[in-house]
Amino acid sequence: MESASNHDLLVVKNLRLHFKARAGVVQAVDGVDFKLRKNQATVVIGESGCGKSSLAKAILRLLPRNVDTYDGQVLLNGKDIMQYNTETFRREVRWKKISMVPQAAMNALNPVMRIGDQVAEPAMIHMGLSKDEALKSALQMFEHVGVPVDFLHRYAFELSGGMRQRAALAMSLITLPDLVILDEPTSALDVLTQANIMNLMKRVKQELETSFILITHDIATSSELADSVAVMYAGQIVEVGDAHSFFAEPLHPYSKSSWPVCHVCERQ
Amino acid sequence: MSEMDNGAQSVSKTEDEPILQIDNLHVWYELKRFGFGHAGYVRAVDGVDFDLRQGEAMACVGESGCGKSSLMKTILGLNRPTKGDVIFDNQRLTETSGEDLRLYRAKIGYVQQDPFSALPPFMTVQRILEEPLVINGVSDKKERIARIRKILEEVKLTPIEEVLPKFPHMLSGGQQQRVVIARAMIMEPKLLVADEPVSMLDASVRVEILRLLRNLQEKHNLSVIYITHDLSTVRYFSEYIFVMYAGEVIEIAKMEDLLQDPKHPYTFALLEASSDPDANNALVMREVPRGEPPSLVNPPKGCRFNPRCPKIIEGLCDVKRPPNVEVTPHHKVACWLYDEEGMNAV
Repeated sequence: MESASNHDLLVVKNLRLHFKARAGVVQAVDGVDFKLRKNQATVVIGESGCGKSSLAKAILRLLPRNVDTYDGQVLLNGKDIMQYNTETFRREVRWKKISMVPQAAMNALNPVMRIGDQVAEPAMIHMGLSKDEALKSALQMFEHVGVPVDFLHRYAFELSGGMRQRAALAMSLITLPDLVILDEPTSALDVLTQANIMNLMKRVKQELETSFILITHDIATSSELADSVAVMYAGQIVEVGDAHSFFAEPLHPYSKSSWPVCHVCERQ
Repeated sequence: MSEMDNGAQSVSKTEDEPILQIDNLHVWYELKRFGFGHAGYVRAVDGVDFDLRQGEAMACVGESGCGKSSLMKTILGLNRPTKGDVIFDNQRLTETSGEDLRLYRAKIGYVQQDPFSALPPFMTVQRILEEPLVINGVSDKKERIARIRKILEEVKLTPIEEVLPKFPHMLSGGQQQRVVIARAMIMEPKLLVADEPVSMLDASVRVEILRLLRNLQEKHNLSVIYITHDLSTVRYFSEYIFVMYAGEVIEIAKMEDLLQDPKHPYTFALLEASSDPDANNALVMREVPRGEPPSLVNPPKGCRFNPRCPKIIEGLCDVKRPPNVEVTPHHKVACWLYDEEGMNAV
């Protein structure tokens, strides 16, 4: 019955996450299905408030208190991680298999801890490395993401936005997870820094064979990394397709309506 | 086509008299050591020159920290120029103060970046739009209401009766931005300064707001300065674009010329970095200059882009400030590559 083939890293089936609110139930994620193959990148495109960040939280089970409904299936390498209890999920899945760079992660770095120690921390906690070993692998990650090595000993406020974003990315990669979820990784950055970060993610994808879920509202930037595209609207995925056919011709009316802003050189 | 004709006409009518002249403008902020004692200047705007004629739109493109907001605030009369001057409607900003400055400001509309934080949360739409009229001495209540209705119709916030008593939080992002535009337009300004008016909005709303601004501009023969970091939105606007880097204007040209045929290596990099949606993007690396914009306290010698420039001419770009070269009519670039001395050095 399971249609998950060996190439599928993540299969999400009928995932629902509803919140209780004073005005009623908020159906933030309402029956979402999609698949992600190994070493591929899926882009989730949608407007603010369409539930794309909630989708990321639902996959990683990072839930707030006011959850109303939370069900469906999330198969990681063929195993249904929704069945894991909280402790197993924390030990087996978070950081080890799936890590996440939340929105505005670069502003969420601890201001009183050196960057190197912060990046090394997940490796110590989740992979049981000693502090020296963890710092060594933090150093390697810094080389991967293009942060100068002496930045290990600096504090967050001494780094520019682009460098902090790189450090956040290094932190998410240090446990060598299969899947990294990136929530709006470049939306607060300048155009050139944005292009640099996208270059970096392409390289990481090749070198470390990581899979990505990239959550964004920026269609043009998303095309830099996407192998497949899912368009989300009001809690549901309204269009799924591989990148080539989607960027050639989006089909859903919503995708079409957000299209004309993003071409640079033609005037209407 | 008709759009272009209109533009050409209004230019020829008032060609000799720009409405806004920026004349060798410097805006420096002083740095203090321990709260007193001089510790250098932040050279946010360092020698900017341009003219804007009635009915023209000009886009200002640059990354954060390049001085575009300082430039805009100075035009609005919120900053004082350190050196140079802003001449708006035959009025020199350095010679204007007190009541005159208030009247000066009333002639310029300002569209803020983030509509939600630009609107007072405890005022209704009617009060928000009435306020500028009250302050500027429109004492007849009936006239005020009539003008509010007219402007709301123009920004297409209808039905008016339903919108007037609403508070900002009851409106969507796009509607809020329309209120901000209405507020900027209600004193019938000659110049509109729009500071990233769509960067906080969703993609599907952006086009509508940009078209609205364009329509208002054509209808009222407004001059507009449109500030953005996003090259993909400027084509909805603007006859002219200028690109700023580290406090200086490095290239100024007609919109099509700049987008089709950029001259300065930095403009080139900006265009290269802002992608069109295309699946093949994922297969290639983009050529982006390394590093980050320089500190404006101690900017690099010579051309300020030289530490990141892929086409640097050693011994020239890092020593002497580049001249403004007019490559083709209306297309000026501050780069040694297009100057004779620079060509000889290569």
